[in-house]
Amino acid sequence: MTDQPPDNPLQRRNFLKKTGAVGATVTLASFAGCAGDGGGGGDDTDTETVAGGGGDDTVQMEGFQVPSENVVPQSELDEAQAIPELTLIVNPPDAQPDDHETSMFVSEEIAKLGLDTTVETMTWPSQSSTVWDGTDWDMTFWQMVGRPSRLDPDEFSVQMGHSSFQQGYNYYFWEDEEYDEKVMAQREELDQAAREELIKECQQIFHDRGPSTFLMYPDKTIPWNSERWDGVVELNGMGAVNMLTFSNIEPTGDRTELNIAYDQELQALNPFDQSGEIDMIQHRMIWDRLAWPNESALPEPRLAEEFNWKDDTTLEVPIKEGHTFHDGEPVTAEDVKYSYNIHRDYSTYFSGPVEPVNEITVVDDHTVEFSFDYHFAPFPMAAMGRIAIIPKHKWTDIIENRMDVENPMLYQEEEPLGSGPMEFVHWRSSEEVRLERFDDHFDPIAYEARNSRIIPSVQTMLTQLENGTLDMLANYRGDKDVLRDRVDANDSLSMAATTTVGFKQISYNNDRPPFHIDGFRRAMNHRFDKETIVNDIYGGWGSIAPNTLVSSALESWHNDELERYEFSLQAAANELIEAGFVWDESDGMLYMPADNTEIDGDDKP
Amino acid sequence: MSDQNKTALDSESNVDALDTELSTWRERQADAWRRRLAFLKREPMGLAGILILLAIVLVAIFAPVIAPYEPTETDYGNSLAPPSAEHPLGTDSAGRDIFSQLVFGARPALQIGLLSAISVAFVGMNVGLVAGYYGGYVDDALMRLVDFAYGIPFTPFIIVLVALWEPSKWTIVGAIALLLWRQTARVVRSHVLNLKEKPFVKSARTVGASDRRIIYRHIAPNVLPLVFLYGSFAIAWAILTEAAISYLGFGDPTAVTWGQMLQSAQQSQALARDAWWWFTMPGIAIMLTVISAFLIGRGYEEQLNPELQEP
Amino acid sequence: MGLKEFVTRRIIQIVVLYFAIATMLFFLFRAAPGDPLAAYIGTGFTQEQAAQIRATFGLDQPIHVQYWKYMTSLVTFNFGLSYITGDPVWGIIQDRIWNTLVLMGTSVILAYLIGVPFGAYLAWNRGTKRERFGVVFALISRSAPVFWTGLLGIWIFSFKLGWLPAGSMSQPGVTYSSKLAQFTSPSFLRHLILPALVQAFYFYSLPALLMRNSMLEVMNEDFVDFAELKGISDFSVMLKHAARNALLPIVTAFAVAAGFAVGGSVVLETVFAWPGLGREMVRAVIANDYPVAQATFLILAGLVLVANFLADLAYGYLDPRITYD
Repeated sequence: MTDQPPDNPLQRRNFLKKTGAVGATVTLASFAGCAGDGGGGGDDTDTETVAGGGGDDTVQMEGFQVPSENVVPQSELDEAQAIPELTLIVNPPDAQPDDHETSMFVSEEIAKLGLDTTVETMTWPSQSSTVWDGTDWDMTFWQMVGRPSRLDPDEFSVQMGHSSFQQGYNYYFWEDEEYDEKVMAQREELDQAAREELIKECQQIFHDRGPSTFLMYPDKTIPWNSERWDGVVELNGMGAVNMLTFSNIEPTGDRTELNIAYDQELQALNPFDQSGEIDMIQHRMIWDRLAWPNESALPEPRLAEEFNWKDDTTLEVPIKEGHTFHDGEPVTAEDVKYSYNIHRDYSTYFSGPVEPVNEITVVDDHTVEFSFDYHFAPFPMAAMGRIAIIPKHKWTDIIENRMDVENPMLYQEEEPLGSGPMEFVHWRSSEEVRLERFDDHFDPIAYEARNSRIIPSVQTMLTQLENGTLDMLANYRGDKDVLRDRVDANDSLSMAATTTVGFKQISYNNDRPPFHIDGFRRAMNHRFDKETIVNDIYGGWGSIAPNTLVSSALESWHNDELERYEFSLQAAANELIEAGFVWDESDGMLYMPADNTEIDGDDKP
Repeated sequence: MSDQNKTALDSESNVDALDTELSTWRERQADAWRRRLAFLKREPMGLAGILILLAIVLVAIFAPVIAPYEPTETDYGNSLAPPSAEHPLGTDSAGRDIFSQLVFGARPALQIGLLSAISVAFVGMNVGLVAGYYGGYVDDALMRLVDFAYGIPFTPFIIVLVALWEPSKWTIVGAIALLLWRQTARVVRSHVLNLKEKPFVKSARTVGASDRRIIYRHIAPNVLPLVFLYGSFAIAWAILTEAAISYLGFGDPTAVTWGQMLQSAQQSQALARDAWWWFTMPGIAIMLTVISAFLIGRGYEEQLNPELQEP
Repeated sequence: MGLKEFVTRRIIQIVVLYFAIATMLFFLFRAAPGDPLAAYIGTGFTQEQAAQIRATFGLDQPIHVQYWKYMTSLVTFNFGLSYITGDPVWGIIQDRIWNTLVLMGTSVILAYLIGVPFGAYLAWNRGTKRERFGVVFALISRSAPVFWTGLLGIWIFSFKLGWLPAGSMSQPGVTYSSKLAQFTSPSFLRHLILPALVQAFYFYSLPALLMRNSMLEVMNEDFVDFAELKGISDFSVMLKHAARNALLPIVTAFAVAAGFAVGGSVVLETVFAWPGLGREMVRAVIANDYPVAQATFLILAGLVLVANFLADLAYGYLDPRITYD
């Protein structure tokens, strides 16, 4: 699978970068006929035969063969056909060493087709401004994490696949009319089986056209002290850190405070802002929601008593009576209405999910009614499971009198006030957030306090888990093999490894040549040795992914009939050959088809 | 100053006379250099420093010959191997050979160290010479610039520069050059203030040598050892700084440097895995290089007796 | 020029310098490529929403207005809002100033407590193998990167021996009534030991070498008498003599070291997860949280200037030859 290294190890890098270069010129001299027995440099897993041509007139390139009409002298190449150096953006290795490693690996594999590739590291903010807000990029490493709302395939499938989201999650500018149609159709489909079918068809389209290459659905590994704590719930697609765990667990001995480690600072404890992955549980501990996901990831009433769809566009929600905020004031239907209206009046992360809401009516003290513009089936998960119920009496005062910022999402309460199972005690920045039990909650917890420790070093958090300072590591980002060994060696520790609904992918800028050509992207897809990537680089801590936004963790939604792209130079070359790409005779570099060098060149299949 | 220039024009012929004087002065200088080099005999530590540095330079030059592997060559089947005949200093978590990385890491270390030293010496010496020689407003202005550079917290400034621009070794060298000249300038200036009053400078002036000539032919050679000393400290600081910057995650992640090795050791939990060969060796390499610079500097210290200061 | 005048002039100079450094920093950040609010606006906002957020942070104003606001913040400490959390910057960093000062102060003092006697010991043993070894040892500790000795310290004392905590500043779940109560609690001191020692291990060589040099000078001056003195064996008499001589450079170096320690906090605090200015600055720079990064830098620069000022003052005060000009 690897090329034979040249004698001088120093030359290897350059050699890899330019592959074709040496190979093509050397073998061209002895071309035709010797094709087929493959040079020393080919992928030994390669079983593909060369595409196009009659088969007797092929040129042996470095590791693959090409019909001679696809190898042209430089004089016949137009400048517009040239492919500039392709840059793959990834975060620096200190954040995600394996992602970086993978990018380096993939970049070299892609280069073997006769391309110049390079890996550029960017911190997340620069990546965000370059990729998310910009158009000037080629390829990017990207990762999405599992969140409760993503347990329904709708969020990823629509936001990352529908062409109307190109300002948002569809940052790679992908468009497919058929996909758009089907993904919107599933939204309104009430029959589960039919909806599953539509979702699977969407996956097939996405997989075949390959706007981005999925690597894996990573495992979430959560270790905890099982000698001290009982009742950790492992949630499919989410892992062990979820609300069910923290409302279920019980101390087995006299230590009734839970010390849990996070590797970075909280962003905010603001009821309208949940951008940080870290804050999610604290958030749900302080503020109740109307709903939350149960063990099968379906929304279940929480502060709500039930969801009562009176018709397709009217949802009546009675809430629990007699519940109070931490300051003793009752939680009423007015508070619920007020909480949801904030997201309608200001732009927040949840303005999207409440957009189909036409009106919110207070029916009585403990009942609200949502009316929608159209039937919006995902509402319980997308909005009710996420939007925090806040005390109207406190926030009207804040918004009218205290707020010196324009959006309540930017306002930090001195002491966040909610009605959830825990009360806020202190937040010492970069040290810890402490919450204590709220005794009057309708679903009381069995432990007294929760100290979220901020420990940036994975080594330190691991040691502290072992010596008993910590009870659980919420986001261990270190090496998972190390973690497993340590947990195995310590009787008081347990660990859960769960495939998540999140994923890692490398996406292409579908709006920029040569990525606008399906064949090119498909060729890219043939350059991913996912076995090596997932099993060796990521140590096997994840499931190898076909190109689909729907994780294999979601068994009923995931399309398991997708046929993975073979890791093969010849297969990749064949895609290029069929799409009309050509190679420069003199240096083996790849050029775009002369008639398809711009976006307008019709490339729809 | 303009008066002096005029004199210089009028009496160009006198310069020859001066040169005779200069040649005796040169001999004296050569003598001084001999004496300076003699410290090696008296100061085995200085000699040790030079030998260590020389060894590192040789390693850097012949890195491809010495290193048994390509430093970035991964071998996942052989990750975190302890030292063995095959991998004399073991491998890291991606199966890369630690020894080969150390060997190749000597290159950027020396590049960064030497380039920083040269730029620090160049800027510092010139600022010091000009400020000390001309005095007055020039001196005032330049010394305020020195104060300015002293007021900037060293590591934070470099972090800001490297983070805002690109994380390459050139940015690091540039950032170091922007700040570290301050100490050299200050020390050189105070020496120039003394030298200015020395007879050989005064006589050069009376025979009408130009300011430039006086500064660079008469005064500069006298401060060169000092500049050399601070230059050698700059090597030390530059290497320590590159390591710290890389450790904090602001380095060029694709580069093979000692700091970068420690950074990835930290990220891959070499400590928790007890892979001591991974996180001790780069540190020792850094230490050896830095200490060689310090030892060489210390040899001089006996003669020049500057205070071993923070930059 | 008298002392008073000297001090006033120095203070004015330092204030001017401070504003100059602040100005440089302002333009340094403005000149940086990339949208500073990318991290905040990144996740799917419309143009209008983005504009609204930009306005919240004052980024819609012309550059001279931004500059003026920024410069007044040096006096009012109103450094604006964090790009990441949206919280007032001063609120974020105010506590951390104390955390940094306590850690750095302790380590510099420790360095002197170790370094000065060590230097005297070296001089006393001059010409011996012990002295030579001691000097090399001092240079070695100066050549080791602080973060590396820190990592080794954590590995040995925390991971292997389990004697000391590996980072942070406090035990879980404890609420303190005040900063002072926190700083004097035994748990805090336990957390302080390792980082302070690691930093001191780097710094002690400076006073040690200075002390040694001063003592050697003294011993040279009085070499003949000294031989007799040695017979009488009054080390302390000599020490006093030397200490007087060494005071000037050592005190000056103290302030310089303090200034340098402040800058070094970015490394030490990151290694030990110490919630101080340095670590916050590293976090802010990585996250492109410009207001926080700028404010922490300015505070650090201010501390360095104060340290330099104290060095000048001490120098002027201790050296009778100085005439303040």
